[in-house]
Order: sequence, then C-alpha cells, then structure tokens
Amino acid sequence: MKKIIFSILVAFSSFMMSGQVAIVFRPMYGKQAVKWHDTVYASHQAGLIKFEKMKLYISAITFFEDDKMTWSEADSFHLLDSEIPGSFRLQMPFLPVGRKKTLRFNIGIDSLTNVSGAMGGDLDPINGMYWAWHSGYINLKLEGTCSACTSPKREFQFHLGGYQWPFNTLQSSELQVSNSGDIEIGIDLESFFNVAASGRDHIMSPCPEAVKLSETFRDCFFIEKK
Amino acid sequence: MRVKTWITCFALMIFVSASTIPRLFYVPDNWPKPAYDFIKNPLSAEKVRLGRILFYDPVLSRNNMISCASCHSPYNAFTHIDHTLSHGIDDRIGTRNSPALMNLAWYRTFMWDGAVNHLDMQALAPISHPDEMGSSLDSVVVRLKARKRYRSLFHDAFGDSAVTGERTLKSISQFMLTLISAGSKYDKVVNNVAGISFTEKEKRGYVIYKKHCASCHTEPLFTTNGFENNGLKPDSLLKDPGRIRISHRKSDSLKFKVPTLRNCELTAPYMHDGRYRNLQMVLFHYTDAIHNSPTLARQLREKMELSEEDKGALIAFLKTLTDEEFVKDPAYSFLK
Repeated sequence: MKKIIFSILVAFSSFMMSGQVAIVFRPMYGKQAVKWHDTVYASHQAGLIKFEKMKLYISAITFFEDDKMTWSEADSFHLLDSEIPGSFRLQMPFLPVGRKKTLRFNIGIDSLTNVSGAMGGDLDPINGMYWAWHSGYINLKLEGTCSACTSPKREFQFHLGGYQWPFNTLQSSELQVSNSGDIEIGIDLESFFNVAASGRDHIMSPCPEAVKLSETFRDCFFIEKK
Repeated sequence: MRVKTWITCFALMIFVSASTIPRLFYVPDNWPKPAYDFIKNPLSAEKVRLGRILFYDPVLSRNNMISCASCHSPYNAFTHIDHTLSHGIDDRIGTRNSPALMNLAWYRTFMWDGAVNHLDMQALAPISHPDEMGSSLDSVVVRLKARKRYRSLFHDAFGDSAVTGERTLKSISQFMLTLISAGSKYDKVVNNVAGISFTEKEKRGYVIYKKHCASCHTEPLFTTNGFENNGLKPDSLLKDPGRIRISHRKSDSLKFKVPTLRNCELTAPYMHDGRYRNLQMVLFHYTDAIHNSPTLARQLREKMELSEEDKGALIAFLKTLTDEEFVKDPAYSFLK
C-alpha cells in the first residue's frame, strides 16, 4: 500500500514538474555568453572590455495571449546578480498553454514599490541596489573596465535608477515566446556597450543619460534561438 | 453579593492592566491622519524596544563611535545642539544642520531637501554617509548578527533571530514613530486643560504667529512639511541648491524643508546650515535680511514689520511649544 501511495506521489510530482518553466536570462557578448572578471572582449567603440559585475531587477512577469493576460506572477521581484549565477534562472510555477504567447516583464522596480518603505528578500536594501541619499532602487548595475574609458582606473560604472519624472528609468520589455520548454532570453551587452561607451563612464544618479541608457538596455533583450 | 464583588474586582483588574500597558502610538486630538502606513509595519513593544536600542547603539557606525543619538539627542528634541553643521565619524563635518526628530509619522518626505521618500529608508542615509556613520546596511547586519544580544532582541521582535536589512530599518522606524510631541503648554491651552492659559504676552505672540508664520509653519504640526525658499542668502562655500537637486525643477531652487516650530526653543542653531544661533537672529532674518531671488516664498516678498515688543511676544509664544514631557520621557531614553 505504502509503495502505491509513494509511486502515485512520484507520478503526481513529476506531472506538476512538467507544468513548470524557467525563464533564463543570459548576458551575451556577440555570440558568447558573458564571463565575468577575466575574459576580455573587443569592441569597436570602446577598445578592450572586461565585465566585473552585473545586477539588475526583473519584475512584474506576466504572460499574454491575444492581448489577454493569462498569468502573472505574484510578488514578482527578482534580483539577478552575476555573483550568484543561479539568480539568472527564474523558475515559474506554471506554464500557460497556447501556441503563441507574449511575455512581458519590467526591467527595474515600479514607482509604488519605490515609495513603500523597507522590504525584504530581493528588495532588501542590504543588496546594494538602493540609493540612500536619493531614495529609490537602482534598476541596473553594470561595472567593469575598458581601455577607452577616461576615468583614472579605466573603470565604467553604469548605475541606472530613478523612478520619478523626469528621470524615470523603469522599462518594460515584451517578447514573443513559443510554447516549448524553458524561455531563454539573451541580453545583448555588446549593443548596450556600443551605445554606453559613447557617453560618460560613470552614471550613478537619476539623470537624462540614465533614462537614455535604460531605453537602450530595454532593447537588448531578445529570445535566443534554439 | 459575592458575584458583585468578583465583577468589581475583575473590572478593576482590566482597568489597571489597560492603564499600565504603555501606549506606543496615538493620534493627538484634532491632528490629521498619520502618513505612515502602519499596516506594513505594525507596532509592537518588542520592535519599538529593539529600535530604541539600535537608536542609541554606535554599532551602526563603521568604527563603533557614532549612534543616531550622537546627532539626535533626546534632551534637545532629538537634534544636535551647538553645532551649525553636524559632525559624524572621525569628527568629519557634514553640510547640513541635523533636524529635530518628532511627529515623524505625519511626514511624507525626510531630509532638508526631501531626498528620502519614506521613514523606513531614512536611517540608511546617515548609516552610509562617509561623513556620518561611514558604514553600510549590509555591514551593520553582519555586526548585529555577531552579537548574541541582538539575535535575542530580533527573536523577541520577529519570532526568529534572523537579522535582515528590512527588520533593522523597520525597527528603527518603530522607535521613531513613537516620538510624539503634543504635550506643550500650547497643546494644553488649545485643548482647554483646566488651569492652563496663555499669558497676555503669549496671546499677543500667538496672534503675530498666525499673521506672519502660520501659512508655512501650520498648526497642529507647525509645518506644512513642504519646501520653501525663506530668503536665506546662499552660502558661497556650501553652495547648497536645496530641493532642486532632488526634483530637478527650476522652481525648487534654494528651497528647503519647512521645519516644525515645535520645541524650537531647544533646537538651536537654526536653518538648514545652522547659520542662526538663536531665535532673535531668526526673527531679524525675517524682518531685515531677506535675500530676494526668483523662488522666494511669496509670503516673504513684502517686508515683515515687527517691533521689538512684537518679537518678544512672538518668542514668548514659540516657547509655549516646548514640550518638557517629550524631552524627558523615560520611554525615549537610552536603554542599557
């Protein structure tokens, strides 16, 4: 009897698993997945680049079918951190059926959450993604070095944030996804860097450049072909 | 007879226990609804206690020397007396005068320029500023985790001993929310407490206050909590642009938070850069030293005429806003 119950449980749980899907984000440089710290990438605009750190918020994950919302994640706030490789894989408990789906998500944190006080988990200010002297979440941190940077240590630091007019850096991305398996999303850092390299090496407050770069960054998300 | 005695005893017990439970928070009569959302951070005696201990503990600073109370002493209505600009870690001097802390549940923005958008996030700023506590929330959490006392305090407050940034900030908020100043002579007079009334001089001062001060320093909080340019000549060394740094609106140039007048007798020096040592200098500023600029508050565009007698009466009224019960409340003091 116990065996039967056990096998039913196993069958049931594997059935449940089959309903799951992961959304996997992969920072790319050209055709290569970005490796942090040591790998050197060549850029026409910025010379030789090394990426040291990337942290970003993905939030409000929602699926649509024919413009109708079919599923949205509750408390949908995810901090992706290059120091925690597993954080780029977001396990969703449910895969909406249907052939053609639209996945929509925010890159960054919405304004209401920005003014709602202290929060925990991925939103805990302990994660270094909150500006203490100009309240608000940092939506993206991308740091490294490049030979064309003019700063003393050839460093670049793009900290994009700001939730208030006129410097709202929250962006929303919409991608068409097919029905099968995990959803793999590339983030094209080469294109981002080619734009970013033409401006300042350091952006660390809400400003026009941060808004512009957040738009550039939004356009770097693409569905990877399998 | 017996039953009646029991009922009386029971009622008496309830009355006694209810009156000995400390009141953590209340809305004074005729005050507006607080801005703070207590549903997201419900007050409890244990969390307030944790926040109170954190408030006085230099563990928040990099070198274990500076606590919140270093610049916000209870005896001065939680500000830093005698320092125009507050000093922090390694005796470094900041660029602004530390504000007095009271009635914070009614405020929506914090700091002289409104840089902080929520009470929970306020403590982050001094913790991380290189001239104040020179630390960071994540290193504070590491230091708290290493102390047995805090693990047990967090356990009492939250049901388990996990120390997180969120819990640390919310506990400090809880203590700050309990800092209510509504027990001054002024409050007793307006609430018709028997046997307390304004003197003739104070009465006259109240009339002058209503005419010249009340539109920005509005009752009952004695501030609109808005931002105004009150005609201070910009300091050529500090070059502090005020609210515009945060809002990026030209119309906010040289505007600073309107501070409350409550307890102002105790909170010298005055203004965002602490340039005035006493209330007489403040009144001289308003009558004779207004610096004109495009964003100057419209109420100050016409010269304010006050005789020496008027000024004396106004200061007498301002002193009725001093709340001795508040500054000496044992519930707010250092807890060993």
